[in-house]
Amino acid sequence: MTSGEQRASFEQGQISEGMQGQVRAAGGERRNRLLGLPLHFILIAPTFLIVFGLLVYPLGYAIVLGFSNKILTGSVPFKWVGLENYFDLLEVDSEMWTSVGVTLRFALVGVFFEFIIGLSLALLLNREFRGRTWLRVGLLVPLMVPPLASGLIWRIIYDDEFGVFPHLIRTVGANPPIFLGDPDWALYAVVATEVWRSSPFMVLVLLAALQAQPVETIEAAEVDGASGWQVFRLITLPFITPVIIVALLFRTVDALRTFDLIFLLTAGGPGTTTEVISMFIYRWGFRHFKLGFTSAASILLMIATLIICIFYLRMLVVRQAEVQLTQE
Amino acid sequence: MAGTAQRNGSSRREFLRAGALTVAGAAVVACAPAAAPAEEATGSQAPAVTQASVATNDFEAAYEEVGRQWEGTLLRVPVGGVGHWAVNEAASARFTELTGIETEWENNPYDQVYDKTFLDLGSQSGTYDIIDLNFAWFGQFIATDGLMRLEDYVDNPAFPPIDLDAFVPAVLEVYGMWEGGLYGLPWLGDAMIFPYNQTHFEAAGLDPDAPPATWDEVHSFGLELTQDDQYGFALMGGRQIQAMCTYAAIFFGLANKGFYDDAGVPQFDSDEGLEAMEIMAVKLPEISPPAAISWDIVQAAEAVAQGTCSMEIQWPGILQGLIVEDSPVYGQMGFSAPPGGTPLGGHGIAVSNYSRNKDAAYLLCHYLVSPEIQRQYVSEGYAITLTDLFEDPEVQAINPYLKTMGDAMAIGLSWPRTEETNEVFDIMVKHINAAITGEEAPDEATVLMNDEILELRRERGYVS
Repeated sequence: MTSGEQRASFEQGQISEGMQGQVRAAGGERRNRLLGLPLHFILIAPTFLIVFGLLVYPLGYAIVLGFSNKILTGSVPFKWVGLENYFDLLEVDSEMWTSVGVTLRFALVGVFFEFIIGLSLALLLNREFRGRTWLRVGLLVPLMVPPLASGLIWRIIYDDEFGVFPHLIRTVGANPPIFLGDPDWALYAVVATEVWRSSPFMVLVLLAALQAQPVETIEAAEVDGASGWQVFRLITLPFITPVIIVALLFRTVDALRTFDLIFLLTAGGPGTTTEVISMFIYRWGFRHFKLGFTSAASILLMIATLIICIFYLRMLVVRQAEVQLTQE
Repeated sequence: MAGTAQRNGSSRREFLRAGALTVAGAAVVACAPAAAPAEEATGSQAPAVTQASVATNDFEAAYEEVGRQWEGTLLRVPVGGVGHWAVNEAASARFTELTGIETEWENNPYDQVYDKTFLDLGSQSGTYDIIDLNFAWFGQFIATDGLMRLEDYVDNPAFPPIDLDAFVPAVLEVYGMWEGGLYGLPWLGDAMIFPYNQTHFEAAGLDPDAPPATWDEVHSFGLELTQDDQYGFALMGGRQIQAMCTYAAIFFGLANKGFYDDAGVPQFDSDEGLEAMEIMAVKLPEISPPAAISWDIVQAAEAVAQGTCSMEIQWPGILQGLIVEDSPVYGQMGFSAPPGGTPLGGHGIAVSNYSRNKDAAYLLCHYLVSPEIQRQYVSEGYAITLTDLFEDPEVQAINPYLKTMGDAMAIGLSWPRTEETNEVFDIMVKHINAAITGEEAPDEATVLMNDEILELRRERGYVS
């Protein structure tokens, strides 16, 4: 229909199907507006409000506070101090470095063992055997226990007088250490609890990756005479590597900001041997109420976490590029 | 692009408009005034009691008559959860029956009571109506303008009368007064005392009526008492506030002086300060169970109550386990003042300046510190604050350590009440625990602790 024909039919009171659609759309648009705004904006507003209120605003406020000496008591007048908090935190003899060391040890040792245990169990659960379903369900238990409860349970397990571990060690005639009170043991006792709590997450993620692997490739390799180790190293592991990287990313970030478990088990002690960076921030924020200082420390923690995320994501990108290259 | 905007039914301008509206809404909510301070003491008129009285005596009738006008009000109280506080929670149930005023006792680990209360007062949120006022927190709470002056209520004839002179004078001054104003009522009377197991003493060949008079004697007696699974002392050595309290008790006992000299400089690097740290880090762990380096107050008190340990320095508020009839050590315990001296602890009970229910809150405070309630609940662990009760033979018969505690309260040295005190405690806890666990040598811990506190006090202007 030419434009002249369209005009003629319009003048005769007839409109085309396309024009009818446009008119319906315009009516619909009117119906889909509230307070003069498109309805979908109104509908996402609560989510936007929550994200803004709980994420954007606090983050922005923390960044701003980091440049101040804000202390929640009356005697110290507020003033802007520029980068002074950051310089104090990054000084060579700053207490923060001790916490950074503790945090890195906690995260590296913890995530390493979570990965080893998680991968081993995922490989086991990927096979057919009696009781596999029950084992899978059982593995979920630590994930279902609230962090508060697991912290309290493990505190009792480690208790020198009533705890299971010291009791077992005594029954074999040895002298148990004071798990949560000995500076040489406390951090690793906390790490063991974290491994217990978080390995099931690793198992679930890696098991899902293993089950997505095409059976044909493994069968073809076996037909070609590949051993079990060769199948795992050359076929399975490369296939699940992207998932491993994502799982490690999640767990590392989580481990870097661990707070609840340490707060419950040791409160950062003995001395400062388990005072991870989150505990350090908590102590200065909620014991000394130095909000400017702790905001700066939080921002540094966020930046460090972002750098680690970028490292993992680059690994992921490189891995995907390699796969693409192989396929081509 | 205009076509695209039409297709989507929206434009960038509309998106920005929606965003701006949302942010503006959030801003309005955020900027809404905090809890409006409730009206001043109202001088409540005699209310009409519309339902049948449940009071069984004049004391109860007085609270019932005044309190019924606030029936349905909910009062929130953040507390430490055990001992004295649990007893008060139990006592408040009857208050609710009488007045219809509900109470919600928020039980927290003791360290967190301060954090939560301070944040509540600092943010002026009015979440809590009644404030558990450890006197070491006084300065910070005053700095938030979060404590209500109580004189108007005390003088108000609409409320049941209260005799401030009936409280132990030192306790009223320290727990309730700030620069001449009354902000709290003495609630939890506390001074550390020294319980010891006389049966264990006898078995070890020690005189059960001669508790140690010096900290060296505590150590030497402890060595006599330590054998097999039994230990001489229950040290609260974990990284928590009681490690600081124990150190302070030893320091006060050795030095008989406060934390700071006249110029406000900390005195922990003195000979007595160093000796106190060596006792804490070397001598007491020698006579305590190995796990005591991670213990807090409950574990230490329980170890003595179970007969595992023979001596402790402890707050009376948690000693009920030693005197109840089903206790393994019932009838075995003796009580004395700690060697040399003791720290005065204790709490007042106060009303939040940001509470929306100030009148009802004051009435509950008043009820909980009344002689009737203190007397009624002393057998369950109420840490009394009234002079007469300390001297009452009936009360002394119920609670064998009350006489000792009363004496200790009269002579105890108090913590500083300046606003940075809690930060000072945190520094002390960190270094004392590090010394106990061997992370720092005692002399190193003492010097580091002293220097950090000095730096903090300089920063806050207490030392020039």
